[in-house]
Amino acid sequence: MKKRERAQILENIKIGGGIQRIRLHAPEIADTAKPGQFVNLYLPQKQFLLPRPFGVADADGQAITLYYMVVGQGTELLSEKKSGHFLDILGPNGNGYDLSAMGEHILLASGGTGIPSLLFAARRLRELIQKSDSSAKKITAVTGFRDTAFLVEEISKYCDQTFVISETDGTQSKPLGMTGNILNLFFALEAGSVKASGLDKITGCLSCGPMPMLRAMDQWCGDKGIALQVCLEARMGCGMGACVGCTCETTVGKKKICVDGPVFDAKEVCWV
Amino acid sequence: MNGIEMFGIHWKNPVTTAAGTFNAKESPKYYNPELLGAITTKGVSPIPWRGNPLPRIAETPSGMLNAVGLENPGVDAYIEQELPELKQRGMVVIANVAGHEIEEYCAVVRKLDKTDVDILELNVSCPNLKEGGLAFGVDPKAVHLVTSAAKQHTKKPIIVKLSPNVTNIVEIAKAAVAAGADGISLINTLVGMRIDLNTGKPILANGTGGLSGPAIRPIAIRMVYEVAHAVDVPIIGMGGIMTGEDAYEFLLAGATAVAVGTAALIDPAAPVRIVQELEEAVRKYGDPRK
Repeated sequence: MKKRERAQILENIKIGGGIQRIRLHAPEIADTAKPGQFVNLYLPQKQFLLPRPFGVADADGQAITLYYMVVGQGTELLSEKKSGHFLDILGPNGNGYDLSAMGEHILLASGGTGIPSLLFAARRLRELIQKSDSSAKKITAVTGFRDTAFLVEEISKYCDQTFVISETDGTQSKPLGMTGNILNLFFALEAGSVKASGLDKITGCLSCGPMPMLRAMDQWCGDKGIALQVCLEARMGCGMGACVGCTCETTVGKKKICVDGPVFDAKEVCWV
Repeated sequence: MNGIEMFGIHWKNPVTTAAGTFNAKESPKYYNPELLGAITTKGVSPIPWRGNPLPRIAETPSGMLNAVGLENPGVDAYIEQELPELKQRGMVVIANVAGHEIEEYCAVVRKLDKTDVDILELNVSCPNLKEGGLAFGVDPKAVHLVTSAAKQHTKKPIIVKLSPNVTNIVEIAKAAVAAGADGISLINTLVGMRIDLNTGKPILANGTGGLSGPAIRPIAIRMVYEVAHAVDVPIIGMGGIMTGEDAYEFLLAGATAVAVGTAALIDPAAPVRIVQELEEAVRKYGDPRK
């Protein structure tokens, strides 16, 4: 049976931009985790009851890698845990992306802390391409941030081209140097200010980020007939399907983001 | 710990789930529900309820706020899709009943009366729409009315689940028993709020939510104690039970059985762990009912 279990911290370090990378020894989760799935992390201080759900950013042999932003007391305490210590975790949770039928040119579009699950997706897609085990031939990443960019170098290792845009700091935005969100970036690329090879030939898209961004992606992809899978973020309670804290409206009725998602076909999501 | 008899129904141990924390599809991935004394299922209404907008959950010190708004697929879906499997596996099932008007409670009770569900639990913490949205459970007269109305539609035992958001819990419990309640369960969640420091607005889209978890346990113990000394029906005690010793404390306060809620959202296998730990507590401290 699935259960909450103890995992040893292998690494828990700042990588810049207020982001921490944590690696945990969790062989069973590492063995089965798929891009788009998440893990519940429980804080050792018992007054913090609720798990923190984080998307799996990598799973390799014995360990899983997660990234989190230090935003409150809970993540602050989490960031103080040293390697060698133990944390309780539960996972992998949720459904994950379907990487099988995405066509030849796949777009990965992230906003803020949505990038970790797409980093994992990029790695797996590259493996599939190298094994000629997929219709995919090309991967483009478009990553948006409010301020400082993170994980761009990591994701670009697996992508044929990577674009970055920051809402507040144009020096972070590469190669255009403009500020804005990823939709602004798409429009600039389409207007031809940068030669984005084959941006008009995208066949499938995976996207993870805040709701307004995903809704905009749905519109952008919908207009072009691009199949889009969205990984929804939500404030969760249990993260395992019991509390009904994180449901969303879909064309086929109410769904729980934590167990029926977090990845949905964008066509099914009723945007609010 | 040995089993118990409640309303002539045998429970293999005195532990059940608190309404809204057991999911018939997901929870059995973490524990065998047959190992519990009874399963209390999520509140059902006469028609599907959509629940509140998100966010519905906020963390608090040693607790959590929820404002799910009783999202549920309605009593017909419950009877068709959820109840049969639980009953086929031989479990004692307590169906939690929700409504916004007395007639809505009665509509659910009438339908459940025709099923093999064992016990009904009335959630009287719902807002009474005909009385301006004040919860039924804060007014002894409203509790009496809804309980006596529900009793007219079924011979199955009815437990009334009390709201703790009252000045005098004993008065409410007595009103329920006078109206024919076969048992009392308590406590439901306490109304609370958290405000986001960045936006200056409540974190929960609903504004307020129900506080649960170990933060509320001393209040629950006090209320169970008071009610147990005032009425003569079985009591299911709940409120922040995280361990077998917590459960044992409720039995000392006068509860016949206990319900595990928030603990199962934090550690999905908590209900069965607590059954085992309660056995150890009884060995250590003796029979709580003596």
